Amino acid sequence: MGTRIRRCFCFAFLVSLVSLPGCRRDSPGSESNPGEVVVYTSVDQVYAEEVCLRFAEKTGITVSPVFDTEASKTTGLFRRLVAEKENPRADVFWNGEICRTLQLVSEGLAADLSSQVPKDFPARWVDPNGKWVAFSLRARVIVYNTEQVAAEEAPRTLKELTDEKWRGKVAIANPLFGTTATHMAALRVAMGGDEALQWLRDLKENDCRMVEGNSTVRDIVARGDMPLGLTDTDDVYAGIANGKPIDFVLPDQDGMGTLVIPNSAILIAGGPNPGNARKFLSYLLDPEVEAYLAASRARQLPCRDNVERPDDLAKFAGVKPMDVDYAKVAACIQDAARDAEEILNE
Amino acid sequence: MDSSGGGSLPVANVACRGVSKRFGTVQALRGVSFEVTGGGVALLVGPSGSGKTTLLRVIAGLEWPDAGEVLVGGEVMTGSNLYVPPHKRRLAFLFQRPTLWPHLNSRDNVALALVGQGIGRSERRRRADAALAELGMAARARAYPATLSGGEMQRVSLARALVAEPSVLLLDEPFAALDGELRDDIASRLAALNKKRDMTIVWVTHRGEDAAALRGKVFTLRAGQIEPHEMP
Amino acid sequence: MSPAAEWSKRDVLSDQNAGTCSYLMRVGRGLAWVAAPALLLAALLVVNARLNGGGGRWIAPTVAGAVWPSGGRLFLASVGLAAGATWIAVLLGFPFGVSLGRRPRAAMAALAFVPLLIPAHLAAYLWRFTLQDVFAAITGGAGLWRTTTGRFLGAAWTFGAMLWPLVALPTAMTMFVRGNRLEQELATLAPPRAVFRRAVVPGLMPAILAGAGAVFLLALSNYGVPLMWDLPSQNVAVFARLAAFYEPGHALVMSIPLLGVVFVCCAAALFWTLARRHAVDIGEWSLRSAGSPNRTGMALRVIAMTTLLLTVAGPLASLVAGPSWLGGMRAKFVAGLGPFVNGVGLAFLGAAGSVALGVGLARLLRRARRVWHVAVELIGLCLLFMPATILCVALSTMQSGPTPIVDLYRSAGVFLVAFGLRFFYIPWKITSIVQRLEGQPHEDMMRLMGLPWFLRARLALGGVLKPAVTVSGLIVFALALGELEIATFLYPPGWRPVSVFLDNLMHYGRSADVVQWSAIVVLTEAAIAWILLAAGLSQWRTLRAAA
Repeated sequence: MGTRIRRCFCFAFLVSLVSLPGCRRDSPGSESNPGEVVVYTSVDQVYAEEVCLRFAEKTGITVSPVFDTEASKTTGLFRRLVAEKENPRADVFWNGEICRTLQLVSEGLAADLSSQVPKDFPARWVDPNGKWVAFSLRARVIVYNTEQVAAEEAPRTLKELTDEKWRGKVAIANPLFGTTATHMAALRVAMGGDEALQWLRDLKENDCRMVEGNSTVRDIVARGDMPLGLTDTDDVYAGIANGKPIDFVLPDQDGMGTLVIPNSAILIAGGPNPGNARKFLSYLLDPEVEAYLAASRARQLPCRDNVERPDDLAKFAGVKPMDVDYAKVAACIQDAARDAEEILNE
Repeated sequence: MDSSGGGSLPVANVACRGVSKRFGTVQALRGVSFEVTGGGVALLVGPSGSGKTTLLRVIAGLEWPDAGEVLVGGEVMTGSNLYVPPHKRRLAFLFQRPTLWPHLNSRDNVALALVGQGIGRSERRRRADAALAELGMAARARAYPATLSGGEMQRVSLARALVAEPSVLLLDEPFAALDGELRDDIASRLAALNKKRDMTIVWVTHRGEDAAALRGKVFTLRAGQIEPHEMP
Repeated sequence: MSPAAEWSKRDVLSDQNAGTCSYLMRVGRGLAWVAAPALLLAALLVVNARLNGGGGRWIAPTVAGAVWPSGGRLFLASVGLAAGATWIAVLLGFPFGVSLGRRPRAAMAALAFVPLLIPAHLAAYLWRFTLQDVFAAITGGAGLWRTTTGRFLGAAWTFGAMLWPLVALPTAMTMFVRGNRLEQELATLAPPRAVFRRAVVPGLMPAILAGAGAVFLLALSNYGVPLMWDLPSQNVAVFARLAAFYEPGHALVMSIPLLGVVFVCCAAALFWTLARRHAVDIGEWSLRSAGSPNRTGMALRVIAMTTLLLTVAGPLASLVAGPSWLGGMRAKFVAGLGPFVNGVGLAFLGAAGSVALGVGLARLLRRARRVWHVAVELIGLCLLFMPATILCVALSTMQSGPTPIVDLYRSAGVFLVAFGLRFFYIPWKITSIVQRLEGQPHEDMMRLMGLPWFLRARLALGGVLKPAVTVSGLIVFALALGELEIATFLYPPGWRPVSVFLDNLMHYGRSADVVQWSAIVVLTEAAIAWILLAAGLSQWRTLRAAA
């Protein structure tokens, strides 16, 4: 009997040892760990890490980030947040684009953050209902290999990508994920559903190549495998900084404009560390962060004019943005992405 | 351990009655019956594969026979509805190869045999030292098995077998890997111990000349069956 | 009966009798050599024609569509890639194994571990740049590796270059343990080549087949290599289905073909092992004599050294030739040190979980009936070779839902369970073998002494089984350090391990950060390989001395 009791005790001890850290949740709303904030972010890890580090140094609060994977990008984090809705694990969601953020807001995952937004913040990038805020902009651009395509020859519109001269020479990232999905939805809103789908069919007819992600598009163009591609400005600027022979065109500047995609952030309702989450969000909206993202290889354009930026952002700074309602874009992103993937995968 | 010498334990006879054992399609033992009187010596000889080791393991309780009985000291240890665990049979076993634990020194290896008897640590060590001294291994009490020769390891194994004061000692070709001088040395020590303690010995060997050191009843096993005859 | 008596000159040279190989088996063996590249070619043709380098069809309106995305093309691509990888691994591994078996050299054996222990996605990353550099130099910039065909071949080469030791080491071990007594006795009857082909090779077939099977299954279930080479793959689709869409049910259904292949192969391997009549008698510790030098032996040695040089130095060359990683090294090292420490901690948990489960099962079942051993073998093999994503399905969804009864979120338990299930087969197998070979007398002795169960376990683990526990723990540690899928799905916030850290960095292209951390991971794995070999050699010498 003594041996049996001893065995039961050993077994119970081992079980409690491995599961004990997970059982330390406090009641919702209070801070389980006064020194921590959990951040889910789809922003490229090299930049997001630096921001988290600076915040930690400044405040002493430990930042526990969760990054996306290259295979799933923002969509994966979005799905994970939705799956965790009943039992939120994250405090802040910092997204590299905006559509998935708006979808999370519509799912009821966002808490009010209006008290964290500085008074001088541009109203265009703040939710009137106080659930989301956006900053630091990227654009969807046509990247080209400067050794294969002269600057004056590079296509100026998305329509030109379907020209015969560019047959089999255009790369695009999988439209199911990330900013490519956002781009497909924005085109549907801006051009109309039929015209957008026709453009995709024309692109497919022109033997465009679908690859894994935006960085892969950049790499393929940089290597010279394909002379053209659709990607984001931060990918292009990073390649230029690495000495790659690439440059970009802001498409449709004389027409509907170029899709501009901001970073966005929300506070997760019911997160484990609400106080620290607000502090982190306030820091994200500090001009210091926008200045850092502008000066980094990502070269993300600050949404505030008075924030310092490097000279080579001038090309981007003069962009004519696509006039599009991001809420409408978010509403149709799933269908648009799915349709695009079906067409490009035929 | 009775370090003053002289047998102080009950003398136990060993008997097998109609023991049979099958492994798959191989009939290792076929109705084996033999008896060795208390304090006596039985030598099991026979070619390889004749069932000698199996019989020894059945006596020790390491194998359960398909039929038959095993008695030690007149009590049934293994029967049709009875099975006494090996550690309660007051016997010791010496394997063909020394079974010392490589991470314990000689003394600790020997002392292990007393753990199951509820003896305290210091007393276990004292008895282990005495057992090693009896076999001329006192100087190697702290040595680890990796530093011992084959003969030394077998002597430590023997010390471990004897420290628990068994009434029966089972030996399964313990000297097969040793050279002539060592074999003779340990065999003569066994003979002396048998006289001193009146300990029953059942010894398996396939070498007829190994039996010369110990006079006793010789049983020849062939194909799982026994043919008794006396040593000249 | 002397082995030579089993043979006659006529038998050695005759087409009618080849030892254990019947005519049908010879035909089958010949077909296998052709089938593997044929499968690869078929996959290339199909993929090139239809998939255009992109991913598979994600949307599955029907169950059939879920199981067979892109009408089965993804699955065919995965099988073709795995077949090609197996072919290359056998081509590289067999000569090395024979050479090492004839003339064992500790350094060669240790270096053979290195390609095996480099994490798959890291190896793919390094090989991609190495091959691109080489072909750019040869062709002046034009890239075979820029086409789908080129990337397929590159990925197959990556697998082969990574996994050939799985064929080589068992081959070498079999040759070494069996000795060359048979060859020496037959030397007077027939030329060495005929003797080798007719008498020695049949005896090596079990080792070669086992190694080839392992390579095939590992390549089939791998995620990192097809991802890095930008290739369509059923396993990548399964991963994305869980990671991107959080649809565990769909991911499970999509993995059915892969699980089916894994189960069939593992069951067949087990059945064949159980049915074999002529097991290698490892009780014969006959020494191999060096024999007289001959051209074949020298050629084998050259091929073996070339294989080693190519597959160990090849990816490492990418490190040296890449962007300089010395600049700002201290800052980069400090930045990446956290993930590296996390990775080491994770690997330690992995080793602990798998050793606890594997050794525990081996101890519990040591006297159980054979059917239990077979069941555990089959389950262990399937868990080892199946896509790791599937293991994560239950554990990751458990962490996302409403608070469960036992919350494993941010606890060590989830990794103990995940890695324990994934890798327990390795400690189970090694411990079972050692127990069977060495442990029985000790077990008997402990029963005779009537020791309590915890003391028995302590004695067994601290004594006879200690080398097995140590070696298997080290192997699992090395595998867990580079493991990507389990780490990606299960790492808690703020505890990102080095494998995920590297994977994220890799997608930025060839950067100094990745080169630096790749070097650190490779050196860590190489150090483990040396420790493993030292432990193995030490134990080998102890066993030889005791025998």
